[in-house]
Amino acid sequence: MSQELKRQLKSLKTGEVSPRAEWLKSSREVLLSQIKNTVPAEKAGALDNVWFGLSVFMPQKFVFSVVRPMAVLFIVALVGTSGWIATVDASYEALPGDWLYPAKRAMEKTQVTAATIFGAKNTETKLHSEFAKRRATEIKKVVAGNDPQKDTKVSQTVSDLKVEITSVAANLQEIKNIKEGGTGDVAKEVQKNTEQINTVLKEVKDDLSVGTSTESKAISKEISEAKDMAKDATVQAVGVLVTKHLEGDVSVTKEQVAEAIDKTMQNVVTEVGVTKQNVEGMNTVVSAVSAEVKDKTATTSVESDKLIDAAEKTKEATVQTQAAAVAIDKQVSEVKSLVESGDLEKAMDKVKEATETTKQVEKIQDSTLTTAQGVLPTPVVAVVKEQVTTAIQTVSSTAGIKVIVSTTAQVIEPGKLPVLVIVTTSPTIVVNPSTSASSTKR
Amino acid sequence: MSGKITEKILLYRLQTKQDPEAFAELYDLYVKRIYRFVFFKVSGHEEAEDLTSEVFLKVWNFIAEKKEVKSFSGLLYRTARNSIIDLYRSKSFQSNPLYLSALPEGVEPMDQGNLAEKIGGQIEAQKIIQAIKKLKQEYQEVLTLKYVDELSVDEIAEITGKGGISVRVTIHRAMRKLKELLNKDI
Repeated sequence: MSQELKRQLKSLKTGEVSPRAEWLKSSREVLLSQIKNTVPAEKAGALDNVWFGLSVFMPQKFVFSVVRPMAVLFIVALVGTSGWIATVDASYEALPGDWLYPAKRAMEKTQVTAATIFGAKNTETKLHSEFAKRRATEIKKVVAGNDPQKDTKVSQTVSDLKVEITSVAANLQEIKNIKEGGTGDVAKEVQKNTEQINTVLKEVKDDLSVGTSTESKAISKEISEAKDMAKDATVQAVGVLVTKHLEGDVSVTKEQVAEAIDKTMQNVVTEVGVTKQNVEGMNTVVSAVSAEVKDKTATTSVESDKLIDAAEKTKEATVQTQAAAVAIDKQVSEVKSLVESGDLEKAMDKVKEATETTKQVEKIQDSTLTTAQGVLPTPVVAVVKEQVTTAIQTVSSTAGIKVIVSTTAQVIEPGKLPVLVIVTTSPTIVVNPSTSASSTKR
Repeated sequence: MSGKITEKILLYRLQTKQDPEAFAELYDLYVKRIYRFVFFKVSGHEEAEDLTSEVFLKVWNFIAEKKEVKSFSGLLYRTARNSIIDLYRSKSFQSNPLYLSALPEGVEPMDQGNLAEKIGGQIEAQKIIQAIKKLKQEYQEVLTLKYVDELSVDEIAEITGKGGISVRVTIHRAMRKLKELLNKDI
C-alpha cells in the first residue's frame, strides 16, 4: 500500500497538478517584463555587490562584520608591508571618484599613522611629500579628463594637496630641530618631490588657462596657491639641508648643499624666463590688435576703451616681468658668490627672495592673462599660448616675430573684439590680413 | 547537489547584478514545484497560477531590496506560504476549499481517466488529490515536497525551517493520515 501510494503521489508530478505549458510560457514573459522595469538604473558600487554576492554563500552578518573588515585589513596590510605589485598598481592608479580611491587614501593614512606611532619623523615627512606628489598627479589627470564632476573633484584634491604640503612643511620644521640621522636624505627627497609638484601644477595651470569659466578661474587660483606652497616647501627643504650641514651633519656635504641651492635658483630662472615670455607674447598680441583696430569703426567706444586699457596693462606687466628677470639674474650671481664664500645662510635668504619674486611674477602673468581674456576672443588667447610663446623661444625675442591681425573674423564673442591672429617668425612673408582670416588657425 | 550549486550561482548573479536572466533561470527551475505547492492549498488551477506569479514577483522585489537570502528555494516556499495565508485572509476562507468540486476548469475528465489508467490502481488521481487537500497544511507540504517533488529530508528541512528529525516524523505521520483518509473513502 505504502509503496503503491508513493508511486501514485510521484505520478501526480506529471499529471493532475502540473501547470499548463502555455501558462508557464506567458507567465515567464510577463514576469520578466515586469522585473526588467524595476531594475534600477544606477546600481550599487562593484565592491558592495561583491559583499552582497558573498552573502549567498555565507551569512550576510558574517560577511559584513567579519569578512569585509578582514579583507580591508588584509589589503591594507599587504600594501602597507610588502607592496604587492598588483595591489599597489590597482590603487595607485585610482583617481578621485574611483571605487579604489578611498582604499588608496586609507592605505596612505595607515602608513602615516604607523610612522607617527613609531615616531619616525623622517619617514612621515617622506610619506607626506610622496602623497602630495600623488595628489598633484591626480589633479593633472582629472583636469585632463572629461568627468562631469571635474570641478568638484579637482577642488577637493587641491585642498587635499594643500593639507599634505602643510604637513610636509610642519614635519620639515620638526626634523630641522631634531638630531637624527638621514634627515639630509629626507630634505633632498622633499626638494625633488616639491619641485615635481610645482612642474605638474604648472602644466595643469596651462591646461586651465584657455578656459574662461568662473570655475576654471577659481580652480586656477587654488592651484596657484598650492603651487606657492610647494615652492615654499622646496625652499624650506633646502633650508633644512643648509642647517644640517652647518650643524655638522656629515651626511650633508657642502657640495650637496651648493647643488641644491643651485638647482633651486635654476628653476627660479627658468620659471621667470617662461613667465616673461608669456607676458611679452600677450603684450605683443594685445598691442598688435590695439594698433590694428584703433581707428576701425567696427568697434564700439567701450570695446576700444577696454582694449586701450588692456594694452596698457600688458605693457606694464611686460616692464615688470622684464625687471624681475633682470633682478633674478643678479640674485643668481649673488647666490653663487655667497655659496662659494661659504655664507650659506645669506645665500638661503637670497633664494627665499628669488622664490618670492617668482610668485609675484606668476601673479602678474595670471592677471595679464585675465585682462587679455577680457578683451580678446578665446581662440586668440589660445594662439598666444600655443604660438607666440613658441615663436619667442625660436627667435629669442619679440622683435623677431610678426603678428598679423585680421578684423574680419566671423566668430564674435559677446563683449570681445572680432579679431583673429596669425603669428609668424619670418617677417619677410607678407600675408594679406583680409585673406588670412579664413586660413587662420583658431 | 549540482542543482544546489546552480541555484547558488544564479542567486549570486541575481544579487550582484540584479540580472533578470538569472531570475528567469531560477523561475524555470522552481515554477512547477511552487505551482504544485500552491495548488493543494487553493481552489483550482487559475488561482494557483495567479498565486505562483505573485510569489515570484514578491521574491524578485525582496532580492531587489538587497535583503539577505540564504536559500532561494527556502525564500520561494516561505513567500508562497505567506501568500497563501494572505489569500485565505483576504477571501475570508471559511468554507473548505479543498473539495474536488472546488476544482473548476483545468481538471478535465480526460486527465482523470488517463491518470487512472497509468497508475493502474484502484485509487484515482483525483481521490489522492482530494485526500491530500483534506490533510492539514503541514502534512500537505511535507508529502508534496517528499513524494511529488522528490526532495531530500535536508532540503525539506531547509524549506520548512524544521529540523531533519522533525521532518521525518511529520512525513511519517502525514503518510499515515493520508492512508487513513484514502481507506475511509474506499
